Amino acid sequence: MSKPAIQTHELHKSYRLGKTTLQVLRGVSFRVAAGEFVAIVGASGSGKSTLLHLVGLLDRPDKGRVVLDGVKTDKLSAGRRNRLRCEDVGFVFQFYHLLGELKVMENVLLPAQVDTSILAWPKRRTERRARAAEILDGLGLGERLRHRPSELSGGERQRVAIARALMNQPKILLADEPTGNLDSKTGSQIMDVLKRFHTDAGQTIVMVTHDVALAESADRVLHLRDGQLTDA
Amino acid sequence: MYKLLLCLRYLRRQRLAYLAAAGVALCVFMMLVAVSVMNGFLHKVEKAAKGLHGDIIIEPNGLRGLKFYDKLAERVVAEVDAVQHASPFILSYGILRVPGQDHYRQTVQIAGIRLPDRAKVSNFEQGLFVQRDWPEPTFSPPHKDMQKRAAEHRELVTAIIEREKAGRNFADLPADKQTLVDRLETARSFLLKGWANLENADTNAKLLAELEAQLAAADAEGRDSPYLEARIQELEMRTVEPWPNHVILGLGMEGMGFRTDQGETVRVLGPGNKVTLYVFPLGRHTLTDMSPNIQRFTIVDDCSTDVYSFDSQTVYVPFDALQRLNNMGPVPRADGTVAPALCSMVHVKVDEAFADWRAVRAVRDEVRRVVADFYEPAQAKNINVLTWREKQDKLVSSIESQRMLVMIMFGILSLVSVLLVFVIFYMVVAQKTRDIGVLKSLGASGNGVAAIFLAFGAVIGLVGAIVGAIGGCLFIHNINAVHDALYNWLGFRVWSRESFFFDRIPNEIDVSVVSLVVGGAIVAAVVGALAPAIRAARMEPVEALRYE
Repeated sequence: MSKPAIQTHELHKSYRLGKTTLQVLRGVSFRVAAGEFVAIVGASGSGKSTLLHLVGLLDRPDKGRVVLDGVKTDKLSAGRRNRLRCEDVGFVFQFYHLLGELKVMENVLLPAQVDTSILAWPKRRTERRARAAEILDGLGLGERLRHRPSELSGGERQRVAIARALMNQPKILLADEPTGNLDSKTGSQIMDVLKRFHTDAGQTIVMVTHDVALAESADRVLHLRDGQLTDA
Repeated sequence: MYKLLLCLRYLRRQRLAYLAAAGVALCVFMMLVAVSVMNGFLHKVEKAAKGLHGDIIIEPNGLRGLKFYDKLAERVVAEVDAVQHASPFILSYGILRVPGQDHYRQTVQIAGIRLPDRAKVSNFEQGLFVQRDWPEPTFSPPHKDMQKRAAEHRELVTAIIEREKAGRNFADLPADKQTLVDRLETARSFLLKGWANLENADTNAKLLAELEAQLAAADAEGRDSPYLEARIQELEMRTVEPWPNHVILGLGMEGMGFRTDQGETVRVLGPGNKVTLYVFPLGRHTLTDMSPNIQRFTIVDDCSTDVYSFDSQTVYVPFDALQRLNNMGPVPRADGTVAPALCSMVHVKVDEAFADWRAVRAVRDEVRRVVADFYEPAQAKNINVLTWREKQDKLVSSIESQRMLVMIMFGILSLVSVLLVFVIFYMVVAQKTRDIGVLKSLGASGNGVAAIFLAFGAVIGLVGAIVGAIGGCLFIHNINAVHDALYNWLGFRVWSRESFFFDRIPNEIDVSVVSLVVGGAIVAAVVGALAPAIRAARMEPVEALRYE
């Protein structure tokens, strides 16, 4: 069996809320094979986003371990974690989180720029821009390259965010309620986009959502309840 | 790469950034103007003090006078390599009057100097009117040059009169304009008289000689000739006095000139006019014999050292003339010997290479050695050898401490710009918290995020500093015009020449000061941005993303 794209061991995470401690994750273990599309469903506040942040190395678990593509991430330095996040993980957020000061094209190029030093940039600029344009074109945003996020509709913004997440060809795409802020029609369009990347390019996707119907389009659905992950 | 991009974008899209830059610019502007004016002020005082006394002064205690000064000067020049020139100088006090103007009297300092020697120990020639920048100014410049200047100046006065009257009759002018035009008319008539005195110098001299001969003849015959006496008296007001009775006035003496609102200097007395000096001799006389020596002088030129307090009360006459009027000339003693002539002090000019005050101190010590060697020990111990800095110590060090005070005050004020940048950046970082979270989720490091804000701060500092420096330099360059405009508009002067010695506000721009202030501003802006940048760097990505 090939290395799983994601493997977690007994993840624990708690938050302090005033004097009480809120135990969000109580030993979450799961695997995601390369090329798999997994949906994690849970009620709001069940810890879905927390789990996604742990998997995406945005946060550290209190206990347990995240293994990404065979790399044990718990012992890595901050710099290595940054690199891993930059190169191997793409995030799509519920509220898009595009940078308002940057145009569509620049937002999409951002991960490539984070990955490239100022000296190396001029050499790679053309190639990177071509790739960004290609992804955006594929998402039907070819005409919107020079617009600012504020000039786009919600669906368009989320497509830009997907393009940004895929810019560095990450091994894993993590989507946090990607349709949560959209109407059902636009939401299903976004889902179609994700599915297309999954089927056409074999993109590994982990999506968290509270919408069971939406989760049906994934290969596999996991449920997060009481801080534990179950298959049904 | 993203750091540069975001830094530039924030700069373009964040209005707050302009506010920070404006704050920095204002601080740079203030600092630059304050320091430049104070520095310029100090330089002017230094230059003026040096111009007045040369680099080193040899002077006896009290007013007793210095003898064998020419030999001493020779010795000093010969024995001390760094000394370029040494020249004796007499300083005395007296009263200046204008013949025919009974109400006018003015106390003056009288400086007895040798020309063109004086130009070698100081930059005396730079402030002259007739002989401006002549390499060898004298107390007897050619009449045609004096007349040329007198005529030019009269034309200027005429032009000012026309401008002030603006086609109106004298009677229709407002009262203050009438007073002004009246003064200008007086100046014009005096200038014309001076010019005529020079024009008719030979004729008048001849006529005077003739009349005096006639008077002598009449006296010899025992005749009373009041008519002849009256004519001689009248003619004496118009003749050009023979050498050495020539005087160079300080420019700005009360009643001898004034300044118009537009900043023109109007001379009331000019080349060819005459004044009378009452000198109270400081020479050998006892205190009971202090009756003044009186002498009439012809004005040949005027001089501005730029130090108002000095110019407004100093006249220059030939060394020999003042030596005589001051009773400092050689005096035969009863035993047949001659008591040597005296001067007040010897001014020593040091080579430019030793112009630094520390170097001057070393030269002073050498001069001291020569002086100690030159005079007998009993005399030598009463003679002081001082650098110009020591001579003017009270003045210069008080200005230096004022400058320090001003710099500290403005330095504290400039902390405001640091605080401003800090507050604004704190707000920008707070506003951009989600962006910071996004950047970190894309793999940006804490240092990278901090670098964006530090670069942002540096650019704000740079932009503000450049704007402030350009504004400051323009302001300093035109500070006197601005000051005059303010005076015309509001009617009061911030810079009064009576209290600041100088006529014009110093407007020197020192490149090193500008670069220091600009550099300081950039550092201050970066320092102001530092804490917010560190906060941004430490932000947890998850927290930042959740931030609403």
